[in-house]
Amino acid sequence: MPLLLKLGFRNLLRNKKRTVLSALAIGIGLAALIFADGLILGMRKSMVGSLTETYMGQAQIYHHLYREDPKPEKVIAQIDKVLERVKEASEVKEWTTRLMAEGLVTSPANVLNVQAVGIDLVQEPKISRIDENVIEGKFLGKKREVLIGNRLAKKLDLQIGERLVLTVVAPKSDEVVQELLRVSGIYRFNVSGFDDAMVFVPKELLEEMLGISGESHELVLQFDKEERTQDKQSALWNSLKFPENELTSWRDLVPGVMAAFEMAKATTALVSLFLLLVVLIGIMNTLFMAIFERLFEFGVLQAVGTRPKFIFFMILTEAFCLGLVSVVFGILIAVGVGGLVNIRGIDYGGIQMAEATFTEPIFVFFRWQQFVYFPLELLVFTVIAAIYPALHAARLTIAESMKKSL
Amino acid sequence: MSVIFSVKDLQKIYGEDQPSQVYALDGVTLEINKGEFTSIVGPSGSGKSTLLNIFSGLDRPTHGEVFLKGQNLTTLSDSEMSDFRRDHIGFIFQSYNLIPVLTVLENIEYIMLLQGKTEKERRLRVEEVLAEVRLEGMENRFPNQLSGGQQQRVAVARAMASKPDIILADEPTANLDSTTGTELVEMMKRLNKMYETTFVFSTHDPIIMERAKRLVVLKDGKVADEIWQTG
Ligand SMILES: Nc1ncnc2c1ncn2[C@@H]1O[C@H](COP(=O)(O)OP(=O)(O)OP(=O)(O)O)[C@@H](O)[C@H]1O
Ligand SMILES: [Mg+2]
Repeated sequence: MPLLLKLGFRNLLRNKKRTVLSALAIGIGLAALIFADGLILGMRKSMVGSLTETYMGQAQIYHHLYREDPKPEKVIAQIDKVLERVKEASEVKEWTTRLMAEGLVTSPANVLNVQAVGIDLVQEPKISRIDENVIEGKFLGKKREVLIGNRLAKKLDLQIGERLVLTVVAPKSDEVVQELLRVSGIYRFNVSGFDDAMVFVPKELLEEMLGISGESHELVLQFDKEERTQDKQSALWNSLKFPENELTSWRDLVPGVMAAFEMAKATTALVSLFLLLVVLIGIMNTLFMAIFERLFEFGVLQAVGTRPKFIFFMILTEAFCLGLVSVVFGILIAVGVGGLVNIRGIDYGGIQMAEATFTEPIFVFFRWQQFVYFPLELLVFTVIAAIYPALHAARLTIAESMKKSL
Repeated sequence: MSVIFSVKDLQKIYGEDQPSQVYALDGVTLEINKGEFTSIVGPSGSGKSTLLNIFSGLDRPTHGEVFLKGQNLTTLSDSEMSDFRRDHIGFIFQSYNLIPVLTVLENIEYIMLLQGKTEKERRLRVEEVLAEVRLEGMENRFPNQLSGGQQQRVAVARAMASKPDIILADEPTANLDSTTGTELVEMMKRLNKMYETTFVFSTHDPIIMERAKRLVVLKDGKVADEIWQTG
């Protein structure tokens, strides 16, 4: 083993208690960094997952004016061609089409404004969680059935199997069209805007009522990887773009979510910086203590012909060794605590944050970068923190160190 | 006899910029010949340590020059001084000479390691000097597993190991009982005879002084007397 490393490690072992305490302190700092990153990642995954998998999907296609002014006649242009492309793209895992219309529902108890959504009974369950979120009754099966939210059911005072009337206006003829529908199920998303104002019906029924068959207002896509929504210049993205249509991602629809993450990231970065500063001061303190109790030794080292530079590197190496020990502690703590937390996950119990809801427990998400970059950062910091103490030790004149230590 | 070491008109003033100045050394001129076995003696505070520290370049004089084998030590930079010390001067302190985290073997080979000697060279030399100070078999002990006398012998072995031109020792026996101290000086004397290594050491102890061939008596930072003995 090179002399410097040997000296570094053995000098650390001299005061085991101090070394262990320092390394623990630094290690906890590292573990906190890893843990915070893992938690934010986990939150992100959970949030994005619940956002995109519940209903929205990762990407959406509309008529280019539909979102501005959602009129029924603004259907997706060249829907057949678009669907062809969608089915061709290997990156597209699932897709579904929806038809939407403003309407009224009437029950014996009440009349309310709703958004009626016609869904593809085969494709829809692959994309969204409407089927899983049915808390009473069943998902749609027959043509003249309707799914309503639990809060709407209350307002309408309706039970499973009872009937309501859905009224919409057909765009071409401007005729008012009504259908008597049976409530097949009641769903709950726990998200306002859904549970009290949205009803789902089979797409063919709504097509018939609106008099626009084979058309859709919304095409929802789920890719093999969420990251595909990041690069809008990709070949995939270009292949799905049609001049008359608008191609969006969940990031465009709920920009607040990404902004919230950027903020969380910035906050973590700031906290990390403070943490690293504390670590830096801790390391300096430890090293100065180690230097002051060995002043005479530095004198001896210099007396037998050790260059000041060698002493400088000796302290840096000692710090590096301390850093290595701390990294081992830190990784063990991070994995240990993370593992414990991940047995159950952290339950945020349906807290809503920036348009997304944590419906499931959050798990700390580990990735290899956390175990390479953070420890490396810490090691670099440790060595940087050692520069000042090391300079101090190297600049000690022998006569000084001999005097002070006696 | 050739002069190996000389100082001229050496002055060391502490607190030069303060009202109460201390003249630790006040005009010391001295020559040491190759192979000498010299003791610096004098009362406490007379400047023995100061002189030895300046001899070895551990401290710098306020005025005057120090020559070792023709090299003026006062003109060397700190790093040059380190290298010069490593290659030409052995130094032994009163105590705590050894690096506590290194074994006897590692302590002795330390200087040779700095010099870039090969492992084989180092091991051979360590065995040699350990035999000379009668510490065979102690290679793997740590300093705290040795007695004070043994530690000082390791310090002598370390000083000898790199074959320096001169070995300087500041009261090497002061922390030892008189028997052990005498043994140490006898050992140094034997090495001096066998290898003609020049030794300069300071002491308070009359029994130790007796063993020196030449006594340099310091008083108030000046050379008060010089005595040649037939030890
Ligand atoms: N760093 C210093 N600052 C001020 N005065 C000092 C300093 N070092 C030594 N002195 C003074 O210089 C003088 C010589 O000191 P030195 O240590 O050389 O004496 P010494 O002969 O080795 O004494 P001892 O036998 O007690 O070891 C003393 O008066 C001492 O007080
Ligand atoms: Mg002294």
